[in-house]
Amino acid sequence: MQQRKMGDLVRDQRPLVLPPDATVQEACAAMHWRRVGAVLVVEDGERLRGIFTGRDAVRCLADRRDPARTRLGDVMTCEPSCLRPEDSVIDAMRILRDGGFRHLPVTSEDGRVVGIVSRYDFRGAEHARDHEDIKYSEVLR
Amino acid sequence: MRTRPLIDVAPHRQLVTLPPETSVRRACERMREARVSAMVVADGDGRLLGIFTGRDAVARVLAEGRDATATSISAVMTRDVATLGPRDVAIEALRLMHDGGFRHVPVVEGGRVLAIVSRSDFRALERARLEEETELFEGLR
Repeated sequence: MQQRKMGDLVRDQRPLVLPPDATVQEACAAMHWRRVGAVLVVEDGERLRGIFTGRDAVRCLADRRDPARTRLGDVMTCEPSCLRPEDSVIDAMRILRDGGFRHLPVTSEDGRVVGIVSRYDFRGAEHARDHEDIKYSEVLR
Repeated sequence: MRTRPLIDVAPHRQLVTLPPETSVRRACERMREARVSAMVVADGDGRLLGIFTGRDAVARVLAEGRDATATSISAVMTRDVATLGPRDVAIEALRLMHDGGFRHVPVVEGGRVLAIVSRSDFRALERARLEEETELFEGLR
C-alpha cells in the first residue's frame, strides 16, 4: 500500500483563517459557525503565524481575558508544528501522537496555509501500521 | 479477539466532577490544572447532570460574549449526554462518538459517574475496527 501524502489529504480544504487582530470572540463565533476546532492565524497573504483552538479558549477564560477585546495574536500558539504537502500521513500521525496536540497545519514552502488535519482524521489502518501497533495489525491478519 | 470492557479503557486518574453552580471561569481553571478537555458536572450524590467541554466554552460562552464569572456551567453545559456502563464493550463508546460527532462518553452505573472516556483513550485497533464497520472514507471538511 502506498503511503498517503499530506497534500492528498487536504486537497480541497478551505480551512478557517483569521488575522492576528481578530478578537477571540470573533474567532469563537467563526469556529462555532464552521463547526471546526481550530482557527489558523495568518497574515501577509495567508502565511501561518499561529493556531487558536478550544484549548486556548479555555485558557483565555481561566485567565480572565475579555474575549471581545483580546487579540488572537496575543493568545494563539505561535509557530505551531506543521507539515508540507509532500510529507507523509504517517509522519503526521507520529507528530500528533508525540506532541500531545490535536491539530496539524499543512503549509507550503513559503509558509502559506494549504490545509489542516486533526488527530482523528486518519484511517485506523495507518495507526496500526505505526511502529508501536505492529503487534495489533498482526493479530488482525 | 477479546473485547475490552469500557471501564478498562477509562484513564486511571481520579475523576474530577464539579457542582452545577460552579462558574465557567472556575471550571476552566480546573480544566487547565487537570489538563482535561471535559468536566463532568454532577450533583451531591455523584449523579450525572451534564458535561462541560472546550466546545461549550467556544460555542456557548465565548462566541456569545457571556460573562464567564457570572455564568454557571449548568447554563452552558451539554445535557442529555450519551453514556455507557462500565461493562459495556469499549468499541460501543467509539461508535457513539463517531455517530454523534462528539468526543467524550461518561461511564455511569446506577446513575452515578465512574469515569469519562475520550477518543484518545482508545487503541488504534479499536479505531480500525470501527472503520471497517462504517467503511469510513477520508472526507474532510
